[in-house]
Amino acid sequence: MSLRQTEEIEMAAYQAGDVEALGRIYEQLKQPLYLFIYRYTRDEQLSIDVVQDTFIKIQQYKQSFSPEKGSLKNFLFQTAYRIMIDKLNRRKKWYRLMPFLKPEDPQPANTEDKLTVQQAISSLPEKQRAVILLTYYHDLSQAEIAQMLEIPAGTVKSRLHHAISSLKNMLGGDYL
Amino acid sequence: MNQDPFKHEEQLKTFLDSYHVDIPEFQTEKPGKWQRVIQWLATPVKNPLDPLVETVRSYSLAGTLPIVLGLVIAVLT
Repeated sequence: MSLRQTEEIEMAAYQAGDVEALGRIYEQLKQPLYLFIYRYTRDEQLSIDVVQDTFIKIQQYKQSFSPEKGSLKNFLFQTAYRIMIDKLNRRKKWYRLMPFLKPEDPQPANTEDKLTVQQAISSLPEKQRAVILLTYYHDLSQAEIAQMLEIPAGTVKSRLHHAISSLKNMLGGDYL
Repeated sequence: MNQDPFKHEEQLKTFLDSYHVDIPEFQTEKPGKWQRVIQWLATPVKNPLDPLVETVRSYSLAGTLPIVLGLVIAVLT
């Protein structure tokens, strides 16, 4: 049985009233969700908040999931992405009003490679960043990403192409 | 359309693979409001006075501020 099927069975059980199924879904999907949000924002507390809010939303709207529309993973990632963008937009407004509330830049990482890959991904435009993270680290298809980000599949393809080119240009030199 | 875009990008793949993240332990439930307020208050922020510290401006400000304040107090009293 594939992972997707297992997730869908668990979700069907949760929709039918098995409360413990949500815990199993949480254990299975909280890590990929956290990784996506963290790599996008590089903010640990925000990433935890988004994962928790996503599961609160899932509890409220559990009946709106339907396997015919897409996988549970895609459904959760879409919900998390929307929550994250809302939070980031709200933050930007606050920081514009009160710039002194802006937190310090994320701590530099221990190793040189890690620091470079973090910086490289963070410096990509937000739209390209989401596409490359979802494609490379989360193995989502371009059709799934298009559905999740609510953009045409062609746009996903071009953003991915630009993201790869930008990364290659940024990293250039000795590494690539 | 779904041809692997990283197929011929071995070095880029190696580079992206080096992005490791330590995942902290956290629960499904969010902490209470007070705890969140405390966490927010404890978040380190940039010092808003940083641009004034150890710059030419800070020296001129330190030099002129007492005079300006003295003048203001003299005018007010």
